[in-house]
Amino acid sequence: MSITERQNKYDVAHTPGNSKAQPVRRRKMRKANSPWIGVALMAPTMLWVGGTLVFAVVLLLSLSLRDVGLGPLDKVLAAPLSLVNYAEVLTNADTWRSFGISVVYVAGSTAIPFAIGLGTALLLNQKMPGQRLLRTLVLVPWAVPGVTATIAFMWMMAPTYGVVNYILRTLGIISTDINWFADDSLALLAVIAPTSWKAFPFFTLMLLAGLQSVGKEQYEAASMDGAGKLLKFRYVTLPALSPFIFISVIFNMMYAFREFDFIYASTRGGPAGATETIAVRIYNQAFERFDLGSAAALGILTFALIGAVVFFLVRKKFKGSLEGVL
Amino acid sequence: MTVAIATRRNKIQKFRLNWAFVTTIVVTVVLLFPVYWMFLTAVLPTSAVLSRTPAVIPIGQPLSLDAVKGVLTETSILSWFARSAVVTIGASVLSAVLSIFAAFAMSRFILPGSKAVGFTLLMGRVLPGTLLALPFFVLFQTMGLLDTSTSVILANTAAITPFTALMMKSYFDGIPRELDEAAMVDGCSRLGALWRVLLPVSIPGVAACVGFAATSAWTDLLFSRTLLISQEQWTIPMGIASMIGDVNVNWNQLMAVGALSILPVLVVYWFLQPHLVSGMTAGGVKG
Repeated sequence: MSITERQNKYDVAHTPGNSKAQPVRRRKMRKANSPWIGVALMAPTMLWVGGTLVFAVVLLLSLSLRDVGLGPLDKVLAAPLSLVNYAEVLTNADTWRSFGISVVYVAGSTAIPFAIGLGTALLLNQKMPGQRLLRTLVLVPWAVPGVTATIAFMWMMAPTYGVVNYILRTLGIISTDINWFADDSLALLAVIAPTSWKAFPFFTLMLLAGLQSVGKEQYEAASMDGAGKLLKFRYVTLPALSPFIFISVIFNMMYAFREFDFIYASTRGGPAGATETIAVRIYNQAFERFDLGSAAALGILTFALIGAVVFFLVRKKFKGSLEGVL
Repeated sequence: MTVAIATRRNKIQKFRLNWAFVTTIVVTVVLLFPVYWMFLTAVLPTSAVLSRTPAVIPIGQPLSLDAVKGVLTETSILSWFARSAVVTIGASVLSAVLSIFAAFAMSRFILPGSKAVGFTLLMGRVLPGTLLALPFFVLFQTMGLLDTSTSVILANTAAITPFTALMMKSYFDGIPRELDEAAMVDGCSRLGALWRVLLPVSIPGVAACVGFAATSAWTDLLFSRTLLISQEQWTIPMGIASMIGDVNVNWNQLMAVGALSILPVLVVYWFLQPHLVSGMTAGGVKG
């Protein structure tokens, strides 16, 4: 059917007093009550997204229950069932180290961009010339690909010719060059830097939206009551901002937990596993160490952990405020 | 008397505004320094780049496009761009269509098993992509799609759609049902109501979706890394990652590729920017 034909049909049905419109109208109204169009519209997404997840879980579950680390997939899947991979993963100190690294990475890559995001949002909420241009510019890091942000920071933090070491040398803070990404006590901090840099505009955006939701009257009322700037921030701005803070923090933590690009492009989890978060470890176990069984077991355990957290978040306290953003 | 007070207030306000303005400019300059430094490194001669005392503002330095030329002749950057473009367009079109349909279904229909749907999408959002890398590898190997752009498009679509579908759903939720009900009373079918009424007023939401999908696909390293084997299939992030792997990193050229990789994203953001804020945040916060 061409567009004009459709338009004509629409016009015919649209014209008041047109006798032809009645049956069409009745038929459409009945259709609206049937859920099957909805099911059909939902089906492709559920088949691909849900199907992928189910396939992933079944495959990983099956792999994780075989006591064969190396080898082609069909041979691994033919091995007898065993729980040895789970025992190995849960007792391996490296697993818990990775878990700890994930916690530090997620905390650092959330706290730092939150602070920058709050600061920039408060600034950009002021009236000033060139506001729209400045707002756009501050959002730029968000648009920079993770790998590109990573190489930009690797270059800035390069040991010999990096500008960061140059500035620190000039200020007299360091006397010998720091090899940020290769020093196992600093590498985690080094990968948090580009992650935070890319993440802060998200906080700026969310918190700016939050600040704009506060009505002027509320500030005026607070002024009438004699509140100063700090009191206004504490008793007017913060309460209005808190749902925005909560959602952006949760969202960003999930984002940081699944992060792969920054770490893999720069350190691949090294040096000596210093930046191997859980997400990176699952990949390295499978594709670098070819230990499919333990990669799968770790994957299933992560799946269970995240599943429990999501279930809790959806079911319990935060139902209303998280809907839509999660 | 009143006039005098007003003027004085204006003056005070003006002074304050300038102060915030200056701070914002300084903060913006500091925050954008990595991008500036990358572009600068890309257009400076190697001798100026490999310096123990780099000039932060290179006044009087000769500019050189050697790095950009070098990248164009010595690497397969054009092929990486072409592959990335295919993956990006494929994945964003596919996930936009899927999520518009899914969001419409979730927002306007009572779906059987809607809780399972919601839980699936949430899990799809939160699970690390690395967890899906191995299953995708096995799946596409069985389907004979390994080492093709199609596999990367499909994998990215599965990873992106949970985000964009829920984003679109909250956008549709913000639009009164009466609008599409009115269209149906006027003889539109359900899909007609989506196409003629709901979508035209949801441009910011769709723009935010497409922007999110395109950025995710353009920047994807994980699935390209896992599913693409031959160099001819590599995407931009793969190319960049391969240049870091070298023993002696050519920083000039690496920054040139990095700078080039940002340009398309910046162009897309420039066009989507007016819609982005409302599209991302509308309906998202209800608490």
